[in-house]
Amino acid sequence: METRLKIFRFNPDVDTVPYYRTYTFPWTEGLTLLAALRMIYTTLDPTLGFRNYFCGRGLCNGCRMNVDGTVKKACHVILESGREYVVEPLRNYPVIRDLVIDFGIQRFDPERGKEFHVREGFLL
Amino acid sequence: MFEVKKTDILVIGGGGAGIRAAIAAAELGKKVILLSKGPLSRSGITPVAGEGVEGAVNPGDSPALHYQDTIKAGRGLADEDLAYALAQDAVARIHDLETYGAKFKKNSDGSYATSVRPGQSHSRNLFIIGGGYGLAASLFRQMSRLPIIQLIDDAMALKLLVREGKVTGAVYLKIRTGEIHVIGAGATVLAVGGYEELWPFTDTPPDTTGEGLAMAYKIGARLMDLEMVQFYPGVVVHPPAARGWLVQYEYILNPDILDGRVLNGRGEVFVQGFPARDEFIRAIRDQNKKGTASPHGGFYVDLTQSRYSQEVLTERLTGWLHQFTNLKQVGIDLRKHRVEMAPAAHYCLGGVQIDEFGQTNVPGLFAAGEVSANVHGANRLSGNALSETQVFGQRAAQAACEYAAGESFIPEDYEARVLEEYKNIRHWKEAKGDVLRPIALKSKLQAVVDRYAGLERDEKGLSRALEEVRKLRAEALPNLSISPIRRFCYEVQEAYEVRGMMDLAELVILSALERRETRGHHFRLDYPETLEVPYHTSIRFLDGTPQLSQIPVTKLK
Repeated sequence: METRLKIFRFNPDVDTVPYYRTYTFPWTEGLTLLAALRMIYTTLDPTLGFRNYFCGRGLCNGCRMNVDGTVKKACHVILESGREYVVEPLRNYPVIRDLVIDFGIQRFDPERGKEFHVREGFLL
Repeated sequence: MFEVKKTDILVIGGGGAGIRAAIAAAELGKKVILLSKGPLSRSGITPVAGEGVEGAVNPGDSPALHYQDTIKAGRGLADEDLAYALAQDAVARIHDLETYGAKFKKNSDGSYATSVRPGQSHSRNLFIIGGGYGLAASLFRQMSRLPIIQLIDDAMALKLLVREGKVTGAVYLKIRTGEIHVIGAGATVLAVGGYEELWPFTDTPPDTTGEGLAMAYKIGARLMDLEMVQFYPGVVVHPPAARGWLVQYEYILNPDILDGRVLNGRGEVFVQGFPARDEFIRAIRDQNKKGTASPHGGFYVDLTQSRYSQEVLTERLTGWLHQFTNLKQVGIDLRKHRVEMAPAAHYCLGGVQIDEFGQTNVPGLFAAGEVSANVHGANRLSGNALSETQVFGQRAAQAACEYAAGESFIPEDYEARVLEEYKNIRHWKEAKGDVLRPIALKSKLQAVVDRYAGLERDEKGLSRALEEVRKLRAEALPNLSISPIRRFCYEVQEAYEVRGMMDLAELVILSALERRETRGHHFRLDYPETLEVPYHTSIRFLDGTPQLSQIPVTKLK
């Protein structure tokens, strides 16, 4: 059986609007969404923008993304056979390219007594 | 066309050692730029570290005992001045972490909750809440209060700038935009971590590729003991959803915590007591030789026979083993399922030679954390890595600040240095006949290193590996091909990574050949004995080739 990922694509350098591209691949047992993204990048599409260098085990929260409209850690999503998933970057963060977002630089505002983030990229 | 930033201190690497160094320099009033290859506290090795931080906090324990245990675990190869510095400063740095907001597990009387790890004479392993991620997040929080630090993330250092034999900054790639820029610095602290990605099975994230270490080598820094990579015995190898996740056998086997067992492929107990990491690896190797290892060359972790009830196990697993809940998320219940584990590359014991203040042999270049050599020797105690990041991050920054105070900034003509990098990238982006992607070249290289420079080594295999790596570098590297994207092109990053990995693989193999003995994590089939007098294998780049030598281990005066 196959699994399909419909992935959000957007390169602000060349695209005027975001679009989706669907990738179809054979399902294997225990395949996580993060592993599937790695597999797509490695074997199907070198241009897919995503961050590969995350912990891959639920610690860093760095692979959180929107999966069918819900925020999930990609490393914790076990893909099911025969299904299509819509994969989009985390909302409210600027997009750098495709699934890559800017987590931002944390700064502290002494007047308000709390942290804030400086971010760059395309806020959609 | 390109930007030149000027700073007192440049820190390269955004893990525990790098952020700690940036904080220390900022607290001394110096202007700091911190370059991090990925987002802070979400990339690099620190966030995936376990919860263990070593510090002699308990009554009856002392830095002197911490020092002794570290030396003993290092199998004679730790430089004594560095191990001494580590033990001396560890507790003060742990207190710093608490003021930055890190939380440690405490007993009801307010004292630190600790556990004993193999090789410790006293219970000394503090438990930081949130593990390495908790540590990194508290450092990031502290850094946010120091506006004198400028953080540049998604930034990869490509080469160090050298003038009159001194390091004066670096050229870097801004991954988000594809631009190349320059930083001129009074002193540079290298804190880029290890090079575990040379091996195909690791428990570290994919960005631990070591090109930063290769960059230091290229400007003449002395590298030491590169063959010494610590393999961690217990990393999930099956099922695939959790492949590469470290599960601390130190808790599993501890009769006072989980009382679990480790079993070979036939379901038999094959490890007695509470083995240190190198001892455990040896036992696994024996099982593989006898043909009794588990299907993927490892063993099973089994809690089903624990003397504790399900309720107690659940409470302790939740409290002590951060992987428990994550494993449950992917359908693995440690209380009910046997999980198959195998040794994975875990920590690089070798690296850049430093003195006790993090100074390398190149003026202006300091190093701290996993990238440095000679702190732990041939085997590392659990928890000493996080302590090392804090102790040497602080020490290197302090020494770098003192050094930088005597240096004045002289602008240089950087244009040629920047253009060189654009030319590299353009060459990689040009269409070639056969497409060889960096990720494919990484796999090819890993297969060679794993086969000949893994858990077991011998001269014949290592010589063969040297030949194959040199061939790959000469034939494959020039044909690298990447997609023509400027904005966040991960393939550009990977191309630079694999180039550095090629250099390092050669150096690791040369060092492994040079160490004609078996010690700690270096196991030579053809030299099974341990020499009486230990030596460091040392490698330097002189006249365009690696020069090998043996240098003595530093003793305390």
